[in-house]
Amino acid sequence: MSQGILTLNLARDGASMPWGFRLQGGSDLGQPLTIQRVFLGSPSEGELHRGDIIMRIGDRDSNRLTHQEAHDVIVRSGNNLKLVVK
Amino acid sequence: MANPDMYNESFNERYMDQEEEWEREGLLDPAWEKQQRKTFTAWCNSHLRKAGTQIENIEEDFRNGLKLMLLLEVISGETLPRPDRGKMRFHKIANVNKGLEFIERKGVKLVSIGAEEIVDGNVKMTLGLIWTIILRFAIQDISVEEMTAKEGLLLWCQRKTAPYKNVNVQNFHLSWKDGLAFCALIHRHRPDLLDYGKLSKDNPIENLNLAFDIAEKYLNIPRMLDAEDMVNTPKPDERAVMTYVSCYYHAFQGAQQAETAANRICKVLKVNQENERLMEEYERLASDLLEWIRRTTPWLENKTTDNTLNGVLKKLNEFRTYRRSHKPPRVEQKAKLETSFNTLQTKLRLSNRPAYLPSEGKMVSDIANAWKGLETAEKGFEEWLLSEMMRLERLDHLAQKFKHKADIHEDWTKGKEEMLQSQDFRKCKLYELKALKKKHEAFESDLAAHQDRVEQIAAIAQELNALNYHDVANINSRCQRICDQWDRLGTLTQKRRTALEEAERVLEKIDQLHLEFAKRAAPFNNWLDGAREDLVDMFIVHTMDEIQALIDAHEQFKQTLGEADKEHKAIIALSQEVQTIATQYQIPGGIENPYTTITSTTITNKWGEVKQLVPKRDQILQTEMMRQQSNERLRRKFAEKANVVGPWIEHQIDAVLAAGMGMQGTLEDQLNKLKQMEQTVVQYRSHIDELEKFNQEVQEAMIYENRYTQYSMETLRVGWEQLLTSIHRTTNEIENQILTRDSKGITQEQLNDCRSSFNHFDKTRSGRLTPEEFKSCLVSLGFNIRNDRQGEAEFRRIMNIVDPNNTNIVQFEVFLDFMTKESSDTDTAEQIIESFRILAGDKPYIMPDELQRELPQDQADYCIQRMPPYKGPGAVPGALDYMSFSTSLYGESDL
Repeated sequence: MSQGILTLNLARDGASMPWGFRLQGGSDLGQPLTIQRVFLGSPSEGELHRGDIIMRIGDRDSNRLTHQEAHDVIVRSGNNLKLVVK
Repeated sequence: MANPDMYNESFNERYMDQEEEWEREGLLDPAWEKQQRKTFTAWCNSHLRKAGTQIENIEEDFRNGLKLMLLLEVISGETLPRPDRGKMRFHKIANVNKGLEFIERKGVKLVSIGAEEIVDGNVKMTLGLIWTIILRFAIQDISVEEMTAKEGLLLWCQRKTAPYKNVNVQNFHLSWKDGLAFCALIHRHRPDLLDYGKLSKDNPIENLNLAFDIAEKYLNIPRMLDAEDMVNTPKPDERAVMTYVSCYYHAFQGAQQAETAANRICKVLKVNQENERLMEEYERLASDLLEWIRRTTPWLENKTTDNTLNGVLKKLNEFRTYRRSHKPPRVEQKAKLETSFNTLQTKLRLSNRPAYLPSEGKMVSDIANAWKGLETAEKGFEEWLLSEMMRLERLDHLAQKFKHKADIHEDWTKGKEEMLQSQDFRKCKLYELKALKKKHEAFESDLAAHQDRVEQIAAIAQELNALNYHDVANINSRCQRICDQWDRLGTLTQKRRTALEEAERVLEKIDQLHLEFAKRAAPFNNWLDGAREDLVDMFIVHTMDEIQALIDAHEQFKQTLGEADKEHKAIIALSQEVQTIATQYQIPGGIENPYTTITSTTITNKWGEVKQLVPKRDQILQTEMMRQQSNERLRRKFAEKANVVGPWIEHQIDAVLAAGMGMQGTLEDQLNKLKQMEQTVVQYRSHIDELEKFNQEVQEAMIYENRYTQYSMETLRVGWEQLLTSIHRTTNEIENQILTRDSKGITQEQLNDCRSSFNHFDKTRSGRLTPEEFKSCLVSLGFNIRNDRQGEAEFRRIMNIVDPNNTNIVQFEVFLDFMTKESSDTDTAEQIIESFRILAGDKPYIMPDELQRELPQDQADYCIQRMPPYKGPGAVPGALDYMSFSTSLYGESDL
């Protein structure tokens, strides 16, 4: 049960391409921001894994973000997304 | 301070008086002129009488100069030039001038008197000339002790009248008025002529006349004064009185000569007296000097001292004082003596006196000899003092040297006698004694080295004796002390050596004994310690066998006591021998044993203790034996009961667990069974209580082990608690399972599957699984948890669900909850999405009419309102995004 912290740099070709993971939790839901599912063939495949907890999104500490805020930050991040997970 | 004015006044008055007196020469008082005329006439006649002539009228009879010249010849005894025989005026002048020239030749300056005035019969001038003559020839010769003529006459009068108390001649006028002065003069020279005692001051006329009469009658002095004139004139004429008095003087010339002779005699006598005084002084000085020399010489010849430098220094100081203060006046005295002697001899020679011969032994040569003797003594004394000083300095030096050496020596010897007499070695150990012996040997050589110094001290003392040192008594006593002490030191050194050697021998003997004692005492002491330890050993025995073994061991130990007693006596004997020898030779230092700290007292005490402990031990062992027997009974009682209760509890627990496994019958059946079991268990409580009572007895008897049963009260209590707990827990579990089954809609079979899997991995029957057990359990239930990162993540996800608090424990209820969630396929976003996908005919979006067609109205409207439009590939107008909607229902979003 590795608890290591990883920094991931995801990239995609355009805004129409989804990042390919399902986000669960948020400070408003009483759960950490967690990767709930990773879709095959997406930019996230092999990078993110189910159960990864998102610590930072871009340069922001994501501990206190609500689900919607985290969602919006990721949507606004363009074609390059930096995530710190554990 | 006197008033200057008054002083001046009186002074002036006197001065004026005198002035008046001299003025009179020019301004002649008529009364005086009368007196002078009478007196001078009488005086002239008294002389002219010798030439057979006289004068009647003084201013007339001298006018031709002839009688003047005659008068001068008479009174001077010389011959004047022949007078001019003519009667002419110029003849008269010539003759008067001849007289005047004679007077001038006699040294009298006739300033204002001219021949012509005399020739002309000038009274004043004539009287003046006569006065000049009287003064020059009758008075000038009167010279008593170099006074002026007038003063000489006055002094003569004063001297002659001195014995007469009522006469005080101060002048030649008023002093004579009462006539007593004249009478006194007469009486003084011719006491036969009048009876002075009958005269009175109150009868001046009588007195005067008496004197004048007697003078005229017996002394051939004519009446030159008139008694009445004298009395009646306020102030008699001085010149007249002087003239008359001068006649008295001349009349008494013979007496005068006698007086002169007397004076001469006086002078001679005075010389003689002076000479005698000088002689006496010489004698006195000579005696004094000789006496001093006589006194001093022995002191200078006294060459004895108190033999101290200080004494000599004191003498030297005295000598210096003598040289500085006492001798110089004597040198002066001697010089004065010699001078006086010479002066005296000269005076004697000059006054034609015989030379002075000092009395016997006081000759100048005698004094010179004595003085020479003094100086010789003095020189010898000084030399002696200096040499004595050198000698005493040398002695002092020697004495200092003696003192210094003696000090060093005494300092060295200080404490040595005590040290030598010290019995310190008696308290020594052998090695210390050997050190002391070495130390003593060192001291002996030190002592030998000091022999030289003692000899030096004795030699110095001897020299001081030879040189007669003043404090030789102290030196000798000190030297004697040092020598005596030296002898004592030698003796003491020898004694100490002998004593040390003896002590060494004894100590070596004692040392052997100590060594023997130590060799035997140590193991014996160890044995005693061991024995004492064993005898009081706090044994804890739990069985009869153990106590029996202890009793056997003790019996065996008792067998060895006889041998030990022998050893004890041998050891004590060694120690006592040491005591005896140490006491005999008075060497307490040997008593302590250097080889061991064990003392015979310790040994004896311990031995005594051992002997006391043996019977005590016997008793303790017996008591313990009895206690063990009693314990054995308690054990059996507890064990019998425990052996019944224990298995019963175990059986009951097994039954409960079996019921909990849920393998037989329905959950409700199991529940009933458990309720019955609980009833049974509650009724069994009294056995446990009884067992607790036995246990209390066991505990009070301090019994910890019971080989008659495997059960302890603790394990039984735990078992009992466990039984009760498992009944309750199992009951609760089953009740929960009934609730779960009813709410989750899982079948009894599924529940049994989960239960059997869980039980399979719950090897400890604790109703809990560790994460590893849980993982195995999941795998056995068909979860695909691979041994890679993906699998790891999946397992972590599940752990987060079943163990959100990270306790590393998974409980059956939570596990069951998880399993129903995972397997009931109802409520996850994915399940919803899949359901929508089925409704949407596999499209990634759904149309409102499809929703309205498939779902009840409420649910369809709800979905249509909430679903965002679908923007993905292949979108058609009105298409709704059921995926976002589904995830958002569960707080999820796809990105």
